[in-house]
Amino acid sequence: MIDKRSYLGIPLARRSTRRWLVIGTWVLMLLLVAYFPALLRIRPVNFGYSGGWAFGIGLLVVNLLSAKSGRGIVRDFDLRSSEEGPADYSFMTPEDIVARKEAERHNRLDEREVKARNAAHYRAFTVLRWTGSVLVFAAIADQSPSFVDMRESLLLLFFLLTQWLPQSLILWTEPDMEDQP
Amino acid sequence: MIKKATYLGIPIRRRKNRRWLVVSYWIVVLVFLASLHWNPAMQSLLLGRFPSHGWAGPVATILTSVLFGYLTTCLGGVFERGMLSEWDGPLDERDIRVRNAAHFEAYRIFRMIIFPFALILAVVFGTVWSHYQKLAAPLLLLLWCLVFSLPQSLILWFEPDMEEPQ
Repeated sequence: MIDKRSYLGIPLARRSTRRWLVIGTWVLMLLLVAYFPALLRIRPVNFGYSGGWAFGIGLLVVNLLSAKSGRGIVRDFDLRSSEEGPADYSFMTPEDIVARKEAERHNRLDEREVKARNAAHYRAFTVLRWTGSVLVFAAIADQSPSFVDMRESLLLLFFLLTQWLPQSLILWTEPDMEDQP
Repeated sequence: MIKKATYLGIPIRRRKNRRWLVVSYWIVVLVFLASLHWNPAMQSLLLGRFPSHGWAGPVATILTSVLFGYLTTCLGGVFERGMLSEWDGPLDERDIRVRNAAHFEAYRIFRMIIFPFALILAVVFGTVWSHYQKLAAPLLLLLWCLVFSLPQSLILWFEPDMEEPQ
């Protein structure tokens, strides 16, 4: 599920290192969540919305670890699994088909990876369910302006959880990689 | 994964029936939320919009929580009620696979819709005295329904027909 042995110079083969990375990035995220309402209210200087850049920082950090297009540490979640049917090879030359099959063989998630991916999403969704409930409860229980900050922070936290929790769980739980010969 | 042959008197062995049930469920939710947005009486009852009564807010919050708690768990999964087995109960290997795969798909849908959702809510939360405020409650309650019912809906939608008893 993790296809890089190091990322930005940080070795990822050991689970303990990956766990420190997860803790570090979540601390950064939670700081951003806590200060998000204050950042939103800074007067805009060059951009239309002052909070846009704070949101941008969050998205950037999320993207660093995201499982999209091979950019991050965790393999792309949407890669074809071995359980899915054959791909559509119509209108392709034989050479292209061979090249594509080779690429697919390399990119395909195996059974263990699909299992780990889906289990991580189940656990993440459980967290999402209860965070969503707290957000809704906090927002409808008191609609006074004094709680606006809390609602905005909770909303950002919920957003970050939807984007990034499964990847964190995978980084946290995947065992140490075998040493290279 | 589906633990009952009938639900509210409706046979759910056939996938077709389950799909109608899922569609009906989401229609009920959406009609309910739309009426909450448009109907002042519903807003007063469920959101405590009575300017002169301090107690109305907490009472309305409890009422809304109970009502939506009931509505969102009626498909099952989260608690021991509804059509589906409890997620954390004793499930066999196939059920666990189906449960986890449904959550993966639900999460994928969620990840796609959350950005516009969060953006609208951020604008709504940020503008304190605007007519957009009225949107906040229905949107938040829709979010609640989605986190509690989307994986269940996917399972009920995609699970094949059950075998007839001998």
